[in-house]
Amino acid sequence: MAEEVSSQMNSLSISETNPSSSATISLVSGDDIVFKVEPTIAKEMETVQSFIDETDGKITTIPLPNISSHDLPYVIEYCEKSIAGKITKEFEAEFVKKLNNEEVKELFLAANYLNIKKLLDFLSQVIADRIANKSVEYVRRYFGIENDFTPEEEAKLREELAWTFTGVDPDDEDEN
Amino acid sequence: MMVLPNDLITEVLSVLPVKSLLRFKCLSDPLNTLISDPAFVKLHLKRSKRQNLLFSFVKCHEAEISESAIYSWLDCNLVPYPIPRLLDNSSLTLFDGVNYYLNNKGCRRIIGSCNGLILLTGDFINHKGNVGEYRPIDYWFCVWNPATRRVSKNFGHFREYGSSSKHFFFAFGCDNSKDTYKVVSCCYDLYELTSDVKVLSLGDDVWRKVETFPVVRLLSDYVYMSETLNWLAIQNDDIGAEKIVIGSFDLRTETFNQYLLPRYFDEVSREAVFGVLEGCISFSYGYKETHFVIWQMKQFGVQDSWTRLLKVSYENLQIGYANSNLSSRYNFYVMPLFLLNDTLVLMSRQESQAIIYNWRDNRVKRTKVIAGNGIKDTGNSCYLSWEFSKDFVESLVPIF
Repeated sequence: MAEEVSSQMNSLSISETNPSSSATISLVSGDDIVFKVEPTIAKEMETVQSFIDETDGKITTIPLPNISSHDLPYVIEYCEKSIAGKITKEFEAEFVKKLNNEEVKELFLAANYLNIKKLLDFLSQVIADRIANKSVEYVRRYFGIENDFTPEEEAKLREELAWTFTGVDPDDEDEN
Repeated sequence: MMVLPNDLITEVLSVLPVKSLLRFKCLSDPLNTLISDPAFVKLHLKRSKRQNLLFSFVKCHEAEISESAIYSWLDCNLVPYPIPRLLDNSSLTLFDGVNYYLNNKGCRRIIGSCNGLILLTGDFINHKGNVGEYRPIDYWFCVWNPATRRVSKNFGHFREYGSSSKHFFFAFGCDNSKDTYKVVSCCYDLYELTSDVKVLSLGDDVWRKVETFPVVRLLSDYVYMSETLNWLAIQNDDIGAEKIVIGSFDLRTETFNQYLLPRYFDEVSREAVFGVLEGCISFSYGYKETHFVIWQMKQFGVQDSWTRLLKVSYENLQIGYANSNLSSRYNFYVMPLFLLNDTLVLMSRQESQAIIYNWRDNRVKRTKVIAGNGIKDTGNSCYLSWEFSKDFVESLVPIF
């Protein structure tokens, strides 16, 4: 089992430290930047933790090819606050204020990849809040959804649901 | 632009408000199907209950008077309002949603809500069909989902010869294992000392008599909890003494149970209140005219799990109990509305406002909720009925 893992990970240097020590974990972003974090942070990231567990703690450098060095610090910041029990409404409001719609989406994917339940739930609510009053066209573009209705089908559905099209924000507020 | 995988899109959709979701049925054919899918409807409901709790204010308006209906002088309007916003900013004016009036649904009274569906009832006194001294009264029901604006046809019609000794209690709940919504009608006859209980499953439109309901006189509005309907009820024990118990009707098995109240409530005054707080059955009462006490049944149906949640003095709640004349005693009525973390919200009848009480730091503030003029208003007065205002959740649950 250990051999299998090490052969998959042959591009990585394997640090042979004592598994029980609290050595820092190195997270390597997709663009090859190394972020050193405390093991408690890694615990918040289920994907990372299960990787560490599978290798009995021998591997402490984890490649995260799907996550950029732009997004990773946000993820780490959120996990740090979470461990400290300091996730407040104020913190969350400040946290997302810095992020544009594309960045929120990228972080959402990162949280999903790393399997961080709290961050995932939080970001799905953030995205929901941002699109709740948007037009159908805007949301199609935002999610990359292909419209597969025939024009007749769509017109019929829109007519049935006409009351839900009131109070929709104009699309030009789009920041992207 | 980055494209999200389908399961993440589903995650986002599951926390959207119902109105947005209905609009987003137009996104694509697969998403239209998803949003109507029973599994998605359940997921959305679960998230709504956790993250999007609403308080539905009931505003009553004077309406045109027709002689035939019992409740004709009022029309009610439901105004759902997010609970966290009410706690943060307790001064607000409520305006009517045009689709939230009851009268245009052919029913006038709200019985209760379950999973975002509201059961309404209507009644009509038939002056022509007197039998002896009794006038026949027709009853009927409808189910309404305010979030999707769907209203069912009227159903469950029945006629009762209105004797003043007969008291009707209607209740509404869901057997989640079968996704079956049920209406229960309990009729207690004060003279005959009999009770007559019948059940209707939504979609059937057939009343079925339930034989196993013992004779108990119901005292309170019902409370829906864990697929059961519960009332405070009077039970005569073996030696004929009256005892207050919880009468509970299990919607899955359609059988009756009863549970005891907390042991230590000998000194209960008459203002006992039965309800739900944080997902537990609650029982509250005034104690020695100085305190208000709230109990929670932590584990439903388990007598030993009664736990005293709170004993707070009226002084701390800044409620005066000075007057002892009858009308002010009637007006002295405190009812817990809901509980959110450290914050308890109570209705005070004498103030017609709610008290927001944080027991951790003993802070008290009052709501200032004003019933704003309605769209239909013709200068008639309108007021807020706190006693019928309840917590509420928006859902996509279809009308059967």
